Amino acid sequence: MRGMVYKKHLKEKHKLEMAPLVDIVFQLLIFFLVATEMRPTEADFKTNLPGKGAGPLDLDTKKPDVHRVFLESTEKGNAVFVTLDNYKKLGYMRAGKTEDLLQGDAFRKLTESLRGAVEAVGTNNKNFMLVINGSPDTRIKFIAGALDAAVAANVPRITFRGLN
Amino acid sequence: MLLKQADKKKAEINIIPMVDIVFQLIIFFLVAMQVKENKVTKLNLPRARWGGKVAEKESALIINVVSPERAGGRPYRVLLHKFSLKELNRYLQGELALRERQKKKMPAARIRADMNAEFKNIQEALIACRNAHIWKIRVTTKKPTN
Repeated sequence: MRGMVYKKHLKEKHKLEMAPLVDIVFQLLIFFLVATEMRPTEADFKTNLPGKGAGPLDLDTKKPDVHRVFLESTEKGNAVFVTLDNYKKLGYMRAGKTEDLLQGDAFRKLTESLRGAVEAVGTNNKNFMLVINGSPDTRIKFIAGALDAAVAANVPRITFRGLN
Repeated sequence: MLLKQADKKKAEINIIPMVDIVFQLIIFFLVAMQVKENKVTKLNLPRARWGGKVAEKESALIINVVSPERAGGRPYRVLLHKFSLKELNRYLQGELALRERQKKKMPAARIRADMNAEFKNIQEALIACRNAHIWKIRVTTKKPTN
């Protein structure tokens, strides 16, 4: 009889306890939900500063391969007036209602003008340079807009200058 | 008799598919997550369509520039330290001295500026970089969502 009980005990089915596993898995899930930051969709514009011992840049705009865009801040930094090479008034750019948007077509006109200028001197001309001149309180969103327009027009060299 | 016994059988929830799904979620978050780096300050970056891919392997020195509303006289953030222009210059000169002792070149600098930061702060940061023999500059933007 005793032998029978022992045998029955041996034959008992072993079950895997799932509840603690589920607890741990949920703890892990909550940790990752809180700690995760999704990969941002960031992008870089690359530029080089003049090297050691380099003299001041030759920014003579009479040269066909040097152009200057002027961004003059107005409306407490919410808008800029865009001018190309001292004479070509391209209009206003304003901050849009949503963060992604800039209102106005001055940057589109800038891209078109620069594309024409790049093609005029030859697309292989690596000396073609755009100088982005901004007033001190110009917001970076407008500088980035001008940078974007220049890269869209295949401008090979871009540099920055301040407006006093 | 047999029929009665079958009715009394205890209903159980099968948790194995749930565990499967939860594991799938964990794997997704493991793959997609970027553990918060202390180099990067949370900023509203300016939007631009034509920026190039960020070189993840390039160990660039990240200079964050915040908007005037957040600056409080110290618009620069490097490794989460708040710096004024003077302090940024001092920090970069310190890095330059360290690298010169180690006979290493200065890395590239990534300027991560808030979309409402002022241009004068970027200009001053560029001059500070030049003084610290940093020649490669990256201006970081964000791809627009629409």
